[in-house]
Amino acid sequence: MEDPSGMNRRKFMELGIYTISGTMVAVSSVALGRFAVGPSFDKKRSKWIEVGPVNNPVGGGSFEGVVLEYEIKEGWSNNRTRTLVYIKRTQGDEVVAISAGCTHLGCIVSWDEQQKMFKCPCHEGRFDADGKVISGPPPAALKRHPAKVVDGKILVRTETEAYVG
Amino acid sequence: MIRLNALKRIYAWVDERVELHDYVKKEILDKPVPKGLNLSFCFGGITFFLFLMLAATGYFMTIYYVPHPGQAYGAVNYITHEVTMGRIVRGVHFWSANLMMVTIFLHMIRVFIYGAYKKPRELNWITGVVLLLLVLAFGFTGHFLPWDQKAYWATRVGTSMMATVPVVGKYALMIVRGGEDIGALTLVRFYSLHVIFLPTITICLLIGHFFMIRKQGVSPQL
Repeated sequence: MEDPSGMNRRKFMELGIYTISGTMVAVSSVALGRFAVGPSFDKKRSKWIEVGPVNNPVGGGSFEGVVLEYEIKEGWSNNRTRTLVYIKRTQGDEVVAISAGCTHLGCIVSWDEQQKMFKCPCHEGRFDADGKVISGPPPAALKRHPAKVVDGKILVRTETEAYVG
Repeated sequence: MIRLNALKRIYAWVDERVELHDYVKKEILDKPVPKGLNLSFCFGGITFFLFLMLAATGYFMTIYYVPHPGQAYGAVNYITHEVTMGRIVRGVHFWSANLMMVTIFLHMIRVFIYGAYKKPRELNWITGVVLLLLVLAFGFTGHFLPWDQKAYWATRVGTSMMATVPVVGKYALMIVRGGEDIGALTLVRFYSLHVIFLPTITICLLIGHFFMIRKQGVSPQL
């Protein structure tokens, strides 16, 4: 009865049961694991939002506050969001869009046309026309939204990025 | 190879303290199948297997489901159509639940035909009947959770039957619905029953059910 390899009917059955049940557990674990991860690693989606026609003359120093209003889809939930952005047309089709959220604690900054600076009402944060910190507690420059002019209309992207330059 | 040895040593270390290896081998893995059994004796085991599938898929679906009237339908829709593997996970839950009703009755018919409910196994029959009622409760509460038209109206009709019970019916109905009408309170209630209360009770009864069959053995042939 004894096979030289030590295999017998009982051991074969045992191995078979372990293989079948092990495969079942492995396959369900992979499926359920992927299900649990779900959309965790999905890229955050952003979109271009039209903020109206270009009003400011080229090189005009004034910033204009516009509200980006859009829906954020989070899984099954859609939330309406509003963000204040200051835009200025610099030259030709170039547009600067600076986020109004102070980098210190998130208060809304306002543009002071006389002093040419952004002022935060909460803790005296001051930023220049590029969004760089002049004085006060803010740890970083105001963030920027990518912006462009297409067919005479200004488009602003919902995502922000750190100001470099 | 070294890693395998490390695993074996950890296993041996644990088993030296809990001493389960020999018991599991003798009582479960190497336990001889009683004489005179046939395939119809598998239905109970299949039902339990389906229970495990329902538990596994159910646990994971709670990651996405929300028991809120404004969001439940969207959440179930999201599970089914947008989450990777969602259709399979929910599908397995759905089909296991449906098949369970079939296997549970086949199991019951087998026990009835073999007279396995007779002394000394009456208590196991009684736990089995309670388990059947629990499975029906699982089905009733689970059917409501997708919060679609079918769920809403089936539960409206299903619960309203309670009101026909003399004297206490009206009050029982209001307790089950959490008020006069079906709504947000009903949904959370049913969710809580479906994922917390019913599973806990079911697991306790299953332990008793399995313990008794080991203790008393399978009923002999006709």
